[in-house]
Amino acid sequence: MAEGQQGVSSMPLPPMQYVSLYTDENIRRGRAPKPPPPIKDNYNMFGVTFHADDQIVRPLEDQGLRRLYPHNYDHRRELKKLNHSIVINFLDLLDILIKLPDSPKRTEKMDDLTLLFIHIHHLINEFRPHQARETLRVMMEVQKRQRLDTAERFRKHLEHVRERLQTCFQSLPDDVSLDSKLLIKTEPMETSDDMSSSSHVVSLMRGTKRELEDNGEEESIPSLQDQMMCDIIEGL
Amino acid sequence: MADRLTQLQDCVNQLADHLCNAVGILQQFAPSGSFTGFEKTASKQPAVTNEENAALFAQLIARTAKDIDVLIDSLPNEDSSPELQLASLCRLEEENQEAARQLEEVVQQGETLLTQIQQALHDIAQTQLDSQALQSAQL
Repeated sequence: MAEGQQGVSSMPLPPMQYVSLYTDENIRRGRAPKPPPPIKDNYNMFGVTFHADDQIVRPLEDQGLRRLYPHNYDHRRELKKLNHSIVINFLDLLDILIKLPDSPKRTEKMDDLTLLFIHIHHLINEFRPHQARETLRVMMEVQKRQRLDTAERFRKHLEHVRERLQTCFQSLPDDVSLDSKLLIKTEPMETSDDMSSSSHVVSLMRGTKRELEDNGEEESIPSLQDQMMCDIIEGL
Repeated sequence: MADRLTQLQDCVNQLADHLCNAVGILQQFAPSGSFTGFEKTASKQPAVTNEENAALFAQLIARTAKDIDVLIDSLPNEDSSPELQLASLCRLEEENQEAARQLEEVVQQGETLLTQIQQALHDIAQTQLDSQALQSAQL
């Protein structure tokens, strides 16, 4: 992206002597070099030494710096003491600058200030894992509440649906008799969308079908379907 | 609005900035000291008087330090130790799984009901077709 067409690029060139080993031939023959193994112990990157076995978030302050607080400490109290120490040390620094600016005390004082600031940041960083766990806890609580809410609402909907089905069944006319051939001749039922009447038709037709089958008139059923097809086509 | 730890870090950095700036500005704009006996150059007044500058910086530094104190106070104390947190995390995990199981159960019930209704509707449509056929056979 830094170069336009074939202009001067600010990126370093790819390592051709490495890339050229990955030809298709080599891969097929299995002679391409394997990926580098993960590094187990310390390594240097851009001049900084990284330790692979660090205690991720909180490496000990004993690596190189003096420790100013006792071993079992209250974070907040130590933070406040550090805060006040910073301001007091600044006053001392100003005094030194006023009286004798070029003395070695000045550098000492500045080192003290540096150390104090590093301590403050270290203590703040020690709170971070705590914060991460709290965030996780809050997220899980929210998730649990959402799940329970959804289950509750779904259950309510189910209840509503069941209730409505019940009322539908109850509103069916209770006088369905199996003497349905008679009923068909006298009451041409038109198919409607009302569930109760269609289920009435269902039960009537089921009775009719049973009677037809009992009388052994199965061969009339295909012709009935033919009739139906004719009706539909005539209706078009 | 960043979280408390980030705010605290920003305040601490701001305090460091104020300290450096205070020393730098006061030193830069200080009128040159007069040697006794050399009265040649008249001392010119700085644009903004140094007392105001000094007072301003002192106020800023004090205010930032106070802010840091307040923020430190707002941090949680050591009661919720890591063990407690881990225990509550485990408990929440179990409760979450329980809630998931309930949700799944309810959804299962809903699905069976749905298939039943679909079956009933299918039957109704089928017999409607058959009734149409019988009707046309009657006519």
